[in-house]
Amino acid sequence: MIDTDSRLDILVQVAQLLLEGGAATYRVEETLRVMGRALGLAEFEAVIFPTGFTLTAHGPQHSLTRVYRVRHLGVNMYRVSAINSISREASAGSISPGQVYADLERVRRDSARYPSWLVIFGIAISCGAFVLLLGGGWRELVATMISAGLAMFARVALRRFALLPLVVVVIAAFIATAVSSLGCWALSCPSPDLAPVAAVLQLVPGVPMVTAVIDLATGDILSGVVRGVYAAVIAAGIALGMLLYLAWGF
Amino acid sequence: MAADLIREFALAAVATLGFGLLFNVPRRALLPCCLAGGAGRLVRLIAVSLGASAVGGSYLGALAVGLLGYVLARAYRMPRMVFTVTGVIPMIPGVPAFGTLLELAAGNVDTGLHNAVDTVLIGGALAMGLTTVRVISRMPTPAPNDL
Repeated sequence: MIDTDSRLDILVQVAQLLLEGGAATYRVEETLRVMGRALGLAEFEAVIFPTGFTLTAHGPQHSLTRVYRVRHLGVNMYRVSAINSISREASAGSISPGQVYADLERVRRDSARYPSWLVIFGIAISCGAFVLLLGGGWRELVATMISAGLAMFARVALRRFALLPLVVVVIAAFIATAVSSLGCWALSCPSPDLAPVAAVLQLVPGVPMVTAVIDLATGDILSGVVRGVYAAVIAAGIALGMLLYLAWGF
Repeated sequence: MAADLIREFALAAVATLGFGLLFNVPRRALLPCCLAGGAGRLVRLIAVSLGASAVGGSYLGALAVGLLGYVLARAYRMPRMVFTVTGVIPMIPGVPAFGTLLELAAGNVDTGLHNAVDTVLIGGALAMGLTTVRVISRMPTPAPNDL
């Protein structure tokens, strides 16, 4: 049997991985409840916010508390679904606590699943599909795919400098707008406004926006406000990056 | 009309794919995500062509994505957000958002605000559509493994 300390450690890992993967607050709480029960940690209290959390296990004599700061508000569906299956197995009683810990470590390690070139290529194709949906022709398609691919490449390349997400968004929005506008000019596109729209769509904070409303609707008001404001800040960053090019009046 | 519908579905499905890769969606869930993305825009196009507003159509589209997400989450034993959040991406109001920016930057406050309101209402309708399914389907049994 493992002690309360290591059981709390497991729950800390779970909460951290889920929050970094962009899971809604109620989901983190629900998963912690399920995992806590599976680990035999009946008496504990969790307070979850997008930017940090506390976990307290109440014992007969004293309580144990962990406070964690979550610095990275990302999106990682692999993490969210991998932890979902770990918690399902743990609650069915089919894996031991040690196994759970090893599984969590594995999830943390291989969270970058797709190679960068594939993501860049995929985003270029997606933004290309967007411009066609918006009513663009092949000229807009070419301009969008090149600029969206370059912007995504910049996002990948800037990762190792560990810049603030906001700075990366401004730079990527600037690149997407400048390259697509210049491309439309070079190809003399009939509707040059569509290409920059489609190319910057890759930056739109869709996940925090949707999660914010889900948080608000399920009663996690503070989490919803935090995510909503984060989404608004990123949206403002996109606007700034685009204006850095457009304001010159090309 | 049928050709338009197929085109809308196919392009929206492709548009979803890149975001699936960006969001690190597990490989076996990529195709269902594209299906959800295509279905959302398909429902919106049908609703709008039957007379719904852009906002109402977006709500119905997101509702469809939410329902599909509920079914897919059960079938694939994955959290619902994998399918729903990825699936509404093709409906994001990019054109009015860009319009807001251009018009406000050019000093046209009236048209700028008009575009801004459109952006917020459509974005809100998308989130509300997903949340509607979320809230309704959560009510009956809060089972520990509720996906």
